[in-house]
Amino acid sequence: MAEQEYVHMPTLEEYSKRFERFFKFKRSDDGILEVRMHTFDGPVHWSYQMHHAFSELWTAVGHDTRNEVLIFTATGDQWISQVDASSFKDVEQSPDDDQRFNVQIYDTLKVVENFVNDIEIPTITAINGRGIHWEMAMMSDITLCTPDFILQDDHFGMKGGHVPGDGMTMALQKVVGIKRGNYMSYTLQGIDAETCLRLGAVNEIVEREQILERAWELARLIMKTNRSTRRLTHHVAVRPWRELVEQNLRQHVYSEMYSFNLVKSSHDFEYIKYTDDKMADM
Amino acid sequence: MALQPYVHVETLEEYSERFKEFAHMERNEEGILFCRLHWKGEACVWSYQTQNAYGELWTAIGHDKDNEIIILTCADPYWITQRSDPASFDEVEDSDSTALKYNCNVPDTMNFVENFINDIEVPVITAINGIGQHYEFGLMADICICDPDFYFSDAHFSHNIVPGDGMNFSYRMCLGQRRASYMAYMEPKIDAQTALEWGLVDEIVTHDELVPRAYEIARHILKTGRAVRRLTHELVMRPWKRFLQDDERVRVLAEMYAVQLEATRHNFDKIAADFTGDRPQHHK
Repeated sequence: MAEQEYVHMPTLEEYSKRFERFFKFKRSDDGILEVRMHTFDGPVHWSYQMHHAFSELWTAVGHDTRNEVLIFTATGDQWISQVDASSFKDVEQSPDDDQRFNVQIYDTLKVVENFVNDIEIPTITAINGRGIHWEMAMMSDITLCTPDFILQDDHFGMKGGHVPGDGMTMALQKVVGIKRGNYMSYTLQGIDAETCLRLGAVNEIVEREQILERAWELARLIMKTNRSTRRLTHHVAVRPWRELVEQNLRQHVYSEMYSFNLVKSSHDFEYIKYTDDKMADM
Repeated sequence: MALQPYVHVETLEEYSERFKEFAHMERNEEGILFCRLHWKGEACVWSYQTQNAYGELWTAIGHDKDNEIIILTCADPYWITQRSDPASFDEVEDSDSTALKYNCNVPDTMNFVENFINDIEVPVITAINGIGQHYEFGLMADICICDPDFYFSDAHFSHNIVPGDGMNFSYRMCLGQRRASYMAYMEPKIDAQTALEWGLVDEIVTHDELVPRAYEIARHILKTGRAVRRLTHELVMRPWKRFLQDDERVRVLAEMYAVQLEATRHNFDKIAADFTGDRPQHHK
């Protein structure tokens, strides 16, 4: 009998409570974990609080060895498409440099780094509608989207000082190629679900009513293989992303945050609109 | 006013309780976190539980934004461990649970190193208080000071184990190709003076002065602004992060493949002999 007990790790019950304002969890007996983001049980409002919650979420999910496959989705008919502008103003108008550093550098890095570094199981994202911050969906092992999804990023168009450095251009370059990714970043043009499928940015287009069930079907298929094979296959799948993140993310984030602070920018959310009037022909 | 509060992150009070049997932690008003690894107040016991606990500890420390600088040391007289718990290894290695074996072999072995490099985002000062094992946390720290009687050793190859964990990984970073290769096969013991000359440690400090000197270094670093300290740590760690990403998983998988293939067992007599065997040679 070993002398020591393993140190306690937060259980699903514990971290479901901790994250209840941001994420709803559901886990099957064999370990398929569904994480659905929400705000007040409706569509997600983007905020520094949500941003921080993401970075902590991936660590909590990743350190729980009872999770076997992750399904990630959002609530209703939107991905992340509403904003709590006051959250950004609180930080950006505050004289507290330490708080700004925490959200601009630490949290921005960890949203992406913890997703690729801490989660050690297969990941399936079901993008349930339009919205921003689909980089984690693109970095998932398998990505599904609804027919109305548009892959598009508005950073460069916001008033002054928004280098698309928080993982958006990095993900675009990887999933649609450097030329197309760079063009989309400068021109702010998007591509629709069909084009995403054709270019290999998503794996399947599924109607909203069926998308979550399809994600579960794929998870159950993956669960037919044994545990170490699933986990080590995930490591093979995520290795190009881990490499990309290690080599690029910090330079991208520091570019965004240096420029943002230099021109004393703030988040210009009125600018961001998800319409299909700026589509690229690809 | 934002719609929602930030999610709760485990506080020092909470994680020092969770890890209390594995580490003593205290933080002063300057944000210096003093962390002494132990097993219930005595020198550490090496086991799968200990390996798991320290991987998790780095994450808890790293996520706490109130930690400004870390001083890491171990309970005297050894670094990390004076002895192992054979039952801990036997339970896993005799078990029919491939999930348990996998957890210990791959993620815990990786995370023990990976979480130290990836999760801690503030400067770390390590004070190596004695011989033992797993000095990679000294080598991977921003600043490393050691006791004059300390010597580096890493015996994997002679135990019929590929030296795939953090030790040879760290030698490769700090010593270069040839010396790391020699260390892997020949397992020489490297005394403190040689370690200083080779750049494995930064200062040799008498045993009683180790912790006071670590605080002195911490206070020097704390004179600079918070963002500057943290981003300097980032520059210091960048080569480690790249090497970790490129190499460490290959090393761990190589070690564990051979362990599974040959059903290798941990040889505790030989580990114990590391503490009582020949004193180090002065290598040039």
